[in-house]
Amino acid sequence: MNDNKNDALQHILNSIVENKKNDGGFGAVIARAGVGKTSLLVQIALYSLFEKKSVLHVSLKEPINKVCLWYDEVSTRIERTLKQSNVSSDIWDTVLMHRMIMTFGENQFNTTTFRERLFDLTEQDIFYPQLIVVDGLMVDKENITVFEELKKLAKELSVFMWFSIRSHRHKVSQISHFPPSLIPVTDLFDVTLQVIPKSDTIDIDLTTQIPFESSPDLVLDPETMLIKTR
Amino acid sequence: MLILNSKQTCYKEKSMKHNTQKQRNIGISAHIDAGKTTLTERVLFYTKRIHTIHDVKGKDGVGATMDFMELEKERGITITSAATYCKWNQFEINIIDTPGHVDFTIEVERALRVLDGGILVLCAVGGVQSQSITVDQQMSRYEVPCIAFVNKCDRNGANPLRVKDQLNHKLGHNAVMLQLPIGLEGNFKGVIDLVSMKAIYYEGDNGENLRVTEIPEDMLSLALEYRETLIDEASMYSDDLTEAALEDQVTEALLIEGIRNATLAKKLTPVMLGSAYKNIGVQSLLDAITQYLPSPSEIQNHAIDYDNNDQEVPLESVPDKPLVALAFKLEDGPYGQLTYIRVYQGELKKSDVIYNSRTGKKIKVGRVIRMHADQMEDISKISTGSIGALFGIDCASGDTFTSEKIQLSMLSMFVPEPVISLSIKAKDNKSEVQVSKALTRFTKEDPTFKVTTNSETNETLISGMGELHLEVYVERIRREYSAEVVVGKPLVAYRETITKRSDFNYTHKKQTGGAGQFGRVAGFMEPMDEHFLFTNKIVGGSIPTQYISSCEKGFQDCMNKSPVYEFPITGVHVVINDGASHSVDSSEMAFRAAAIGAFIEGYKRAKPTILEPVMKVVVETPPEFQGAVMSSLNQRRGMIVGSQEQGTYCSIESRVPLAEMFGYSTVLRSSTQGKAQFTMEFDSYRPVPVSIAEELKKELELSKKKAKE
Repeated sequence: MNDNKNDALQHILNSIVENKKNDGGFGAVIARAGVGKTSLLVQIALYSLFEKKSVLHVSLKEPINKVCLWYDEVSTRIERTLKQSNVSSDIWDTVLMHRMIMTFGENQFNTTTFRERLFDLTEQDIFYPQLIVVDGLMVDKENITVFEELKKLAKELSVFMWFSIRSHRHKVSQISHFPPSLIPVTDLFDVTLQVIPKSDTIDIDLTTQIPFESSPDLVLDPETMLIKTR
Repeated sequence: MLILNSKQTCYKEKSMKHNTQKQRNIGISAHIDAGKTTLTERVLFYTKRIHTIHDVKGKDGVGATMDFMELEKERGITITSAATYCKWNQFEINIIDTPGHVDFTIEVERALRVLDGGILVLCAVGGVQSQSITVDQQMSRYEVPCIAFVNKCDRNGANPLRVKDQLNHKLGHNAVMLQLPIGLEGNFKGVIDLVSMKAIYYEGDNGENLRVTEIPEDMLSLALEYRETLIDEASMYSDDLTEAALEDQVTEALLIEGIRNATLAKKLTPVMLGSAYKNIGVQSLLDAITQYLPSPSEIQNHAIDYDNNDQEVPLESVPDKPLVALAFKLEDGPYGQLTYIRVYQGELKKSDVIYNSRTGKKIKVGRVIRMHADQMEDISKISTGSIGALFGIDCASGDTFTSEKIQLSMLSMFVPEPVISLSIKAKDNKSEVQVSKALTRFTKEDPTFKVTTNSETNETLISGMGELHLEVYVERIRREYSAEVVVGKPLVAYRETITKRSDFNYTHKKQTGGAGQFGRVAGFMEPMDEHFLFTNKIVGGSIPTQYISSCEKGFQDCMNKSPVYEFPITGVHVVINDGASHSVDSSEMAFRAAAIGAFIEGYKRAKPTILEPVMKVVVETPPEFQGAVMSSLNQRRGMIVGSQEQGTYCSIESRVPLAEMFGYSTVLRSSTQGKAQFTMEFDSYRPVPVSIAEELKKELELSKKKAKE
């Protein structure tokens, strides 16, 4: 990774994870449908994978082969921004070695099963996640306990979890601009990255209590749909 | 094996009226154990081709009609794709039942190559499984329109609507229900036909009596909702239907036309339901085959005209045009070679004189037959668009036959490279002759089965697509040829490649009296994705033009066996940019030897590495065994890509080196109480770890030592 902007972004993401992983940190990528939440989660996962950190990608909406395609697609976009002809096969091998995908069919996700699956991996020395990304878990009344239980699990494993959270065009909380459904569980989240389309740019609003040397200014590149520092 | 049963089935066809509109060539393919063969058995029963139903692993021990090989009956699997023919509502249907195991994938490729439509059988419990994905990819490669049949709706955990959603999400189909189930699992009684809006119950001992009634009241609103969706989707491909839908005047005929158009355009996949084992839904599926799948004339087939700049020539399914036919499968039987033929244009009659466009040989057609599993019927001709077989024709699989001496050729099939080998040796002299006969026959029949000889150990090696593939052939040698054989441990087809660029500059010089030998070749080699590429960058004639091809040949010779680990080499780009010659002592042979020397020099410096075949292994298991399965894959140097939770079962996808997969089925069976199954197919070649490379080197040295002793 030899691009300054990418380095800066990677630094921000690393600081977030390192700061909060022991507390079972939670992060949310908030955006409207179709704006690219999955793509952003995959970008976050890839930055960790490039650093040889193990990432568990949990998808509640797409099968394994589609998740793999997301990784192919986003890594190609990252290559393009880095102006490298291709990510070397060694790096790609590293990505594959450190990535594990777990998908759940419709209504098949519950924390008990997830915990079981996760411990199947860790107890047998097959895979220890250092970062978990969860794509497609709806934040609603029924799922409040699911988020609470996942928080406990994250703490137990000292791992940071990123979630994709869908917001609706007109439904925004008066106080925080967050989707109202997120409000009951806001306390669980240590950081949010909210995609806010403006007239000529797509801003990424970073909300966190984590201190940074200089406040990060993030935007979404409309060409690649990747986050970058302005 | 072919058995001629002259009394019962061998009859001369008196007349054969032909109408391609009323003809269907279809294939049935699916994941292992989805019920393809059971479904075919029911189709044959309802179309009165057979009079008793025998199940795949039935208690009567007879086995399904299409699994005619002894081995198929015993194992309950389909090994060869069997062709049969039946009639339904005046439609002539040629059916090919294909194997589900990936090891026999060539049989599926062959079938799909000549079919016009397909039935994708899916299990109502398992849904879209790993092999369904492979089969679907094969269908789309040959652009075969299909109908999905969700089988086993009587099983616990059956959920056909979920399977329909999986068709959309996992395979990217636009699947639409044509039927809804009446009851499910143990209560599965029949189906609601959303086109006619009637309920159909299959009654009688073998479900042969259809009772058509009004839709039960409690299901009416659901049926209306699904019919709405069906009309919406189908109306995209029929203006008349759109108009009728707007005026609320949709008729059955209009709806069928809309569904048919969309299916043929591969924009829609009609989903039918049933339970072949319980005799539910099969007759409706037969109706759907005639209504929604294409006739031969509706599929545009092309041939390549070698006489005309390899131009694509469209073929017409009409009898009065010159014949173009494809030999898609060969089978050796007691009466000589049987060649399966699909006629794309014109007609193929008994006593016709035809040409093999590859060899240019003239052939007189002898017996023309139509196959029904292992039995055959004599017919007078194979009509345009139809499938039949010829006796006593000497040809290779994939040859094109024409009525005139024209250089037309049908496009070839995709033939994957074998990944696994094992040594085979006859126990005695008598068996040796038989083994050699069997191997000659099998290599001719199956392009994925290859026979080679190890020049050092003098062992005969058979290579194929998987352990089961070779196991089946060894068993067939034992049974069909009564030959006693000893087989060695399976060997993996390793390859070698280079990992960095290296230069070479080699002079071949020999002066032993008389004419000497002289040639110098210089340049470099570098890794590449393709198998082999040779580039000549010589300027100024340092190597005379007439010797360049000898250089290329020398380099190419070296690709067959590496100078380091002795495996075949792949992925090398050789560039020559300098050299020297001698006016008297240089010759083609000298430059060939110089190129070989240069390759060895460069190759050793280019950091060669061994590549091993890595397989995509998908295990389907009840969730409680997921941990055990993951551990078993992990122990085999497997890289687990991910797991997919599907409720009653979960699938684990991984990449595992083939060398570690031998005997895995036994391990999996014992660690999951026999409840899990796996599929395996070739994924890619990957470098082996250093420790394994060292072991391979030791093994190689040991086998060389043994060979010398």
